[in-house]
Amino acid sequence: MLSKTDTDKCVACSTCVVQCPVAEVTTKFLGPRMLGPASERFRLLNDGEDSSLTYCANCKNCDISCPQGVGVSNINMLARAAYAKKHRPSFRDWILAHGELESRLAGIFPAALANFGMANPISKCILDKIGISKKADLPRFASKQLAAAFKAYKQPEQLSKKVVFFPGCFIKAYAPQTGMDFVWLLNKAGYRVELPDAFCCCGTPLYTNGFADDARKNAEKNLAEMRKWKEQGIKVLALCPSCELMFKEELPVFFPDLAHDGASYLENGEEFVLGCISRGELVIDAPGNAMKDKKIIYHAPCHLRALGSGMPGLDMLGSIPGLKVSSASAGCCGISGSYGFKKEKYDISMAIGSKLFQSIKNSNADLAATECGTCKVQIMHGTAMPCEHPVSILKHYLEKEQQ
Amino acid sequence: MSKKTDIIVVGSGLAGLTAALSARASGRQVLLITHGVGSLAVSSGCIDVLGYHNGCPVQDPIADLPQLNPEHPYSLAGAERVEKAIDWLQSLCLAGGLNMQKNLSRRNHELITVMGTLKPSYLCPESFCTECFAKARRAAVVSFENMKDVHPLLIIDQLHRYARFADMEFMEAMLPCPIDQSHRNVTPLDVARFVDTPEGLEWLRLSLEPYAKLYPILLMPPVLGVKNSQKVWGTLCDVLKVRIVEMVSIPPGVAGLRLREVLRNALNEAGITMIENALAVRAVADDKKCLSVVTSGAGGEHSWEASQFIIATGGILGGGVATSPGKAWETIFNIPIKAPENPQEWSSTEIFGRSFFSQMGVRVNADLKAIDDSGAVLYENVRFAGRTIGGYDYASEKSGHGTALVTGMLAGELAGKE
Amino acid sequence: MDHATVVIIGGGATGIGILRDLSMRGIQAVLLEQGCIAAGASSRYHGLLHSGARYAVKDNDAARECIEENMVLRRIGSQCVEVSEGFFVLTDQDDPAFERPWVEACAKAGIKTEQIDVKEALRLEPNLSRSVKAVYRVPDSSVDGFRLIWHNALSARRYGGEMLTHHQVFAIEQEGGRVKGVHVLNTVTGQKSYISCNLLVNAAGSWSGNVAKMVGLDVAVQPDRGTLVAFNHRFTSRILNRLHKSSDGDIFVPHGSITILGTTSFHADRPDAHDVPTEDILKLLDIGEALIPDIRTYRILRAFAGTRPLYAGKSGGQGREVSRGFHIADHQEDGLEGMVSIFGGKFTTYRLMAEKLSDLVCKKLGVHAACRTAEEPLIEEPSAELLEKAKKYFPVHGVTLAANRLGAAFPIVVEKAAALSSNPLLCECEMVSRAEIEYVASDPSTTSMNDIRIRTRMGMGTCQGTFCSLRTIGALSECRIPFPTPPTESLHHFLQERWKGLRPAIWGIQAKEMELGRSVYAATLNIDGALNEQKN
Repeated sequence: MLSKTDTDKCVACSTCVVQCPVAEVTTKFLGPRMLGPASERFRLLNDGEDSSLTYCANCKNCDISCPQGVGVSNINMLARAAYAKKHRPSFRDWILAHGELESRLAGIFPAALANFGMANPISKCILDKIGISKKADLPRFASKQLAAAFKAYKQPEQLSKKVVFFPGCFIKAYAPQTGMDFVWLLNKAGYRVELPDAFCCCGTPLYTNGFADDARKNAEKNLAEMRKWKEQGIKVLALCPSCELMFKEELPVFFPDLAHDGASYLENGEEFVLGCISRGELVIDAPGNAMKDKKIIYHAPCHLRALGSGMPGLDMLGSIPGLKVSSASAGCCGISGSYGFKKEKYDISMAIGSKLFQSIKNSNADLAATECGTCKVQIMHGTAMPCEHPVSILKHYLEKEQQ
Repeated sequence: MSKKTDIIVVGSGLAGLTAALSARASGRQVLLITHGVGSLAVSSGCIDVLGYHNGCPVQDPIADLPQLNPEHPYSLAGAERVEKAIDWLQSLCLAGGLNMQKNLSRRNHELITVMGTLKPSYLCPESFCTECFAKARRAAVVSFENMKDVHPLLIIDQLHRYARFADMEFMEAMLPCPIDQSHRNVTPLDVARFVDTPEGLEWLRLSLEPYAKLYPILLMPPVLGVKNSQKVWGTLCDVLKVRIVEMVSIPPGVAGLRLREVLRNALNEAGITMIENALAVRAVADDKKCLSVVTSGAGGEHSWEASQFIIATGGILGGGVATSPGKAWETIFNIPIKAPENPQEWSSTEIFGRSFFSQMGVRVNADLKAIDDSGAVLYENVRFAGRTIGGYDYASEKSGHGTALVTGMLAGELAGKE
Repeated sequence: MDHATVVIIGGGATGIGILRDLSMRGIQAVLLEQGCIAAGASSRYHGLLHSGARYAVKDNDAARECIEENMVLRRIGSQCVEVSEGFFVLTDQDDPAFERPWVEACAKAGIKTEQIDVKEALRLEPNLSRSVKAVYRVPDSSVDGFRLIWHNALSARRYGGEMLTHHQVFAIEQEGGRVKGVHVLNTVTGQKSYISCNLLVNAAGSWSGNVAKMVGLDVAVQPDRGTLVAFNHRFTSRILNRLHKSSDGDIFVPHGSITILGTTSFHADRPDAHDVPTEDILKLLDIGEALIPDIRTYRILRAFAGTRPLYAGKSGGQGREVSRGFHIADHQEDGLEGMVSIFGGKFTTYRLMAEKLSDLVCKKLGVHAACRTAEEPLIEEPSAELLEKAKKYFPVHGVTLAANRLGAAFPIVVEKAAALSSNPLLCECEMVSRAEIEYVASDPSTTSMNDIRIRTRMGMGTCQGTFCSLRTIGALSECRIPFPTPPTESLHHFLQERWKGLRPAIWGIQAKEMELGRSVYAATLNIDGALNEQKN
């Protein structure tokens, strides 16, 4: 959590510069310390802003590495938002920030058509013109988005307990199966799942691309909905680490007036599943041969590491009998939401991810696993290996065991 | 939410990493909790054991250990343990591909710094060893344009002020900077990362070639890679037929990162999980037994249970010791640390003088458990390691990583036995 | 240099102001300063360019002088003055009965005040206490003491004025009731010399009593210690004053990247009583809390103290009782020809003080020339093209700062930066680049890292010298600009100077910074060992 004194906490030790994945691969970025705490001391003088601020990927490795607890990335994001107020962000950034809106528009057309529209060479050229890299693999809209899939799915009757699912825009539009796998697990553990229509994008892509006002509108909507459930004492669960971080760490900094209550009410869905296992609500039977000798390599998304809660996904995978799980421990994948899709950032993003790609390729695993949607896109793009959310892997296991 | 393991280590500096590894060697489950990446990212990467005692230079630190005051971590651990810890780290590094060397005569190395000063250290990467200067009396001092921390002319001027180097022939060798220019600091780390790539290594070989033909020694900032430094150094020395000596540099700590990389890999192989960005804020204890450590992070508070705990959270700089006007305390267990009420008495008027604040830390017994004034143990299952322990000034006696290593390894071993 | 028409003792604001004034009037003058320029009260104060509101009730004449000079300095020294305006704030601890007379006194002195809504004030200054009762706007500004004096010096130089730093006057030669010249010691080289003069000006501030003593005069100059605290960042946009009878710890002055809280008032027994006791700092924090409630959570960067050269005159008195007005003495009245002194005063009115004294000098020398210091700007504004060009070589946040610091030399430094293959920031905390440091280092008056610091702010930011001092000394050896002392010693001297201001406030984050500094210089670079092991 960033406070007024965060600039004061910096002792200029340069640890964040050492650990910054962007600074490691390009000198176009001045580095977290210079743009964060060092520049912050001068910002009240209103002398302008260094253009390299846009090179911060908001991956939060500076925050993770800082021994003094300086919220470097948030200093950068606040400065970027202030800059965007004076200098309108590009059309390209608008496109990348408003994926949820586009998915709703896309929903009007059949997914195949919408995706063809994005993936064919002609539109790739158009995207390139506005600044989206031709080389990037943009995520594809699902043929049936989460809301539709959820509506079509019948939850078992007689589930006495209830939880609420905050899916986030990625699962909603691009990876509804992950969301449905989670619903399946929760049902199995005895929970009925609510998926309120009111929940929208957490605001991360909006804020990091300079659309603070839009992010604020989303936050207002989401928090109002969350308060409703809080009052009833019903838990709200998320699967995306970036969404969780947005609510728990960023909203209180970006919009302190909004976040005084409810923001930290969101809970980590995987931790909840682990809790179900330890309470005996979700039984993982031994011996369990469904995953025997399967090898999985797990990548911890930076935003999950930034949460400081450990690695519940890794623990969850570890609880699957017979499964061989290893952790890639190779740092940032480089994508940072929409960062790696940008034309001028694509190479940087791939250079950052190269260590992770190498580690995943070297692992000889059958499958990669990670929580973050765009990490997943990047891993598949960089390694051509399939990649799944840990809840999906657990679901597959239990489903197979059931058969 | 609460999670359980056998041994919890808090802190990922040299003390924390070595404590976790040596605790894991007992076969127990170990969990490492850290807030920030620890001091190695900004350290010189050399293991200083003891360079000065009461302001006098120490030749053989192991022989001089018995003279230290009884509260010094080395005195608590014993000289034998100090040697054992050094050998252990040396073999650990070797297994990880980093050759850390003692001086041939088992005395302190005299390493050369980027300020052109000499600095005593006991164990350093092979690429830092300066014994070659005993035979060859000519060297090129290499740096890179716009690498603002390293200036050959300063180094040459400074080295000539030491009797040992007074008559040596040095030449300035300024190489072009291989890194794109911006206002950003070009540091040895930037170049080292470039040298880690095949084209970077080839570029460096070509750039050094003319100097290698003229001089038997090339004195350089620590730029010989982060990941493959041992190989880079060996290859360059071989193909250029020259001895390359790296200098001790200020943060960012290239050599510290090399060491960290080796230890992190060892940690990974040993199956030790690391919880990052989690600040240990308090402990839950039942009388003299610690039950859990509570961390606070963006994701909320978490409680971590274990039967043994090792606290290696650093000193004042690392955050293990907190201060307010006239007061000091350990930050997880709130153990009060004795300090003069008047802050003016905390430091000497001379920046490098004997200062109270740089020795402030937790008082421990030979078991590395915190004790009160009467010598009674505060927590039966909690040990301390590294700079969190008080009673010595690592900066003036040059014992920084030595104390961290010795107490880290010892704490891990003792916790593993319980 | 063996003769000067006028010798001025004291390189503070007044002395250098006099040097500029006399030089502009065509009088050949040399200034002698025992240390570096602005080493005394001229830099050791909060840097407030008074509107005069602070003195309005007690000393309306001084207040009028302030507002007039304030307006002059905004005009002639725009690069040194941050026109930030000030708030006078009535807190719940202040006597509301003071408000009315204060408003009236300000009006009488010609100081514009404007009451603003408390809510609006809190919006403008969110860190201000929520419990304030009334807020007034006044035309206060902040001024960079080092910079203003340096630009005065450069301007004086352009008119032929000469300035010798590290030159200490140790004896004054008299003959037949007349001052003939001064004996000077170069404190860097140890060389002694003699300079004869027609007239000697004593403008040595807190040291002026000591100078007077050399000619056997006993002057009632009373050094009065004021302690100040510099915080690591700027947490107010405006100057904040308490609306009450002037007292300790009631002014916050934002400067560039930092905020200064001042001041205390203690009788000092010597002019260089610059040591800061911790209790001064704690007292300032206690009082400062009334305006800025979160003050204890902010990081103290360093603490420093200066001595005000209070002139008690014949009436006596101490501390805040003594008038902040100034006094000019022609020692002819004491039976000594050829020497004049100026006592008391304050930074805001330095130019006026210099003008009055220069008038007297002209009269005594029989020169007829009018003062032009109020009209002619100290520095020309840099052109828009130059600033645009500079942006290529300086960081965004550093361009204007560098331009303001360098003044007339800015184009030279931009050229220098353009000629370098890159212009890295040697001091990242205060954004000082290599070209600027090299330029300042090559000035003949620069003999130490401290001289560079004073002109550039190198080493005055967050890290307090931990990274920049090594870089500076390295860069200078690369361009072959040596200091009189060997590198290790120069570095140690610089760090030691920084240490002085750090150690009275050793707690919290500052203690961490000190540990980092020792860890770099002692543990890693072994500077302490090298001090004993290197031969010179």
